[in-house]
Amino acid sequence: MADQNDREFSPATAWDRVGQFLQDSAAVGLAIAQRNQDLWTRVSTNLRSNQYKPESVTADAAAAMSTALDNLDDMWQLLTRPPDRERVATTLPSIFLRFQETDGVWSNPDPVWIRVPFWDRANLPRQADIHLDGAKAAVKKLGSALSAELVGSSYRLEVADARGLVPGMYVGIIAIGDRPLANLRIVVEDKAS
Amino acid sequence: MSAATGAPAAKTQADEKALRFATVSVYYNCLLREGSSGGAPAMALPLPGGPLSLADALAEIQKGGLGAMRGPVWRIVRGTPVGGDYPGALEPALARLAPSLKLDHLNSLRKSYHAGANLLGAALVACAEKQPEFGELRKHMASRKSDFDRATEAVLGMTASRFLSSLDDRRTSAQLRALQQEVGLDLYRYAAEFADAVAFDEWWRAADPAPDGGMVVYPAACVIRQDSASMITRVTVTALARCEDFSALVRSADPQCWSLASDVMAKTQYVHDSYDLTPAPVPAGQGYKSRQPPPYRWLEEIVNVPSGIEGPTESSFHNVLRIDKFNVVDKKDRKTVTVNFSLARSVNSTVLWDTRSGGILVDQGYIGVRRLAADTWRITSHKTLLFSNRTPNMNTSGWFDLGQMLNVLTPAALSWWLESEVYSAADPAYSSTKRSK
Repeated sequence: MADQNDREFSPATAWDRVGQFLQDSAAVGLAIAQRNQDLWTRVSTNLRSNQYKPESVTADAAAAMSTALDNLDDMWQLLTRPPDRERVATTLPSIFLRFQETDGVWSNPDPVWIRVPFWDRANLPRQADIHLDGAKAAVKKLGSALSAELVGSSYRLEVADARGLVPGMYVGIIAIGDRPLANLRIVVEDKAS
Repeated sequence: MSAATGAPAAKTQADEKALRFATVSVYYNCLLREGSSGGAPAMALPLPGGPLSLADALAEIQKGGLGAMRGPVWRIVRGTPVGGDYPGALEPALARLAPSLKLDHLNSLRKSYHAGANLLGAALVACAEKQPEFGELRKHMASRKSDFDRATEAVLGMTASRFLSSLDDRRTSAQLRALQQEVGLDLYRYAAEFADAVAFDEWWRAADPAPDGGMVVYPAACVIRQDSASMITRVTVTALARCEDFSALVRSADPQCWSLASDVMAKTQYVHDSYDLTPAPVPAGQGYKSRQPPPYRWLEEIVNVPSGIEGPTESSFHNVLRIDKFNVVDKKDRKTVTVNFSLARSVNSTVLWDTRSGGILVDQGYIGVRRLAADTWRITSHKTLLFSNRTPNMNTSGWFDLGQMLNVLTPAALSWWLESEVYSAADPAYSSTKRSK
């Protein structure tokens, strides 16, 4: 909690805190319930199929383990990092991409996952916005090779059709509306240097 | 392996996987003569798991018969210098499968043909450099009537001396210089590789004759280079083919047909773009007709490559390639096929237990089909490949770095990949009478 009311101890403020915690608990509980339901839907579908093979048992067990860990993670976030009530400066993760040229063709750096913070996961758009700084023509070429698509509750920054890039250093940010997700640092290497 | 001689049918999927793993094992055991490496010899590093020993690999491949053995034996022969000792595992394997295939006879053929190839190589270099000695060398080649001169007739459809006589065109020297660039070999070494291929083919055909009709692909040169600093691997495979049906060659080079007779390509189809993977089919065997933008197509491919460790498990890669060029020239005096491709998007990949997005950083190359004589063609296939580091946050050095394991294996796997693709051009699936696509 980083708001300016941290030092207030009035009864109203205390009850506000309780109310906020219950509200956050409801949000987390809803997410956990949905996740549990998805797991049991998957397991019951597999069980109802004609053959429940050993690999299905293994895959279901792994899914159950993954669900349990995700639930634990949500509860941990609820207790240790409740959402801020006002806009607060935060740290942002950075993505680094490096493009190299081989025989006139630019390399395709592997996709990078951007985890969306727990409290920002509702109503995510299919694509995140990518904002780049630099000369307009160069940024247009580079930007057209990048996309950040929603996969589950994360965005996957992917490179495709990287053509005609202009060597240099580019900076940018990936955001959904006015919520920043990650910094972007891109180096397009100049072969001559 | 879909070699020119074909392979026995009715193999299970597990058999085919085991055969592919054994074949790659042979390649891994026999690369050192042709492989070259910039910086530290990364390709000579031992693998964490390791492929089969040569003896075990040959025993496994033998189950596929002579057709399956042809490519691996050629790989071993090519990896042994003329007059050198073949690996000990080769002779017993041949004795079990085809007792008439004697290595002594192969050696005498190789020595004899190399002598002729020296003269041919010198003449070609003189022609490329427009040296006056070319005329004398050509006359000497014709007067010598060597065994090599006679043997080349079976492959080229004309003797080597007649081939030299045909090099009168003003453009010839430029074409020969371009040839060096395309195949990655100087003319002198190319002639030596050609002599080896002719000797091997004559020796092998005694036990395993080519089927009548259809296309015959003769093995030839393979150049492998790996830069150990970047781990980028470049492989260029060149083969000669005898084929009366130009359209079969075009279809074998058509990107959407690559999976028809391939050991590696599980699926190839044109799609709308890098992200929209709905099929966008076009008639097979037709090059680009329009130069209107975009003059290129996107090809979705699924590739399965033996992992090289822990038995015949395969790595799988799902990519979208951009086919920058697919030009077909079909004129009376000039028939060529040119395909240029490069990686547009690496969708996902699986190596052993590790499935993830991406997986390939660099994947580009070309295929060129050029006419040498009436029904004789040169097929050159080149690929430059770099897999991504699969443990980017956990780097260790050398072969302890499991994330770079694929790149260590690439010289062997990629040369097998390209060679099997070139040999598969002879598959009946590409002929105009047996089209399956």
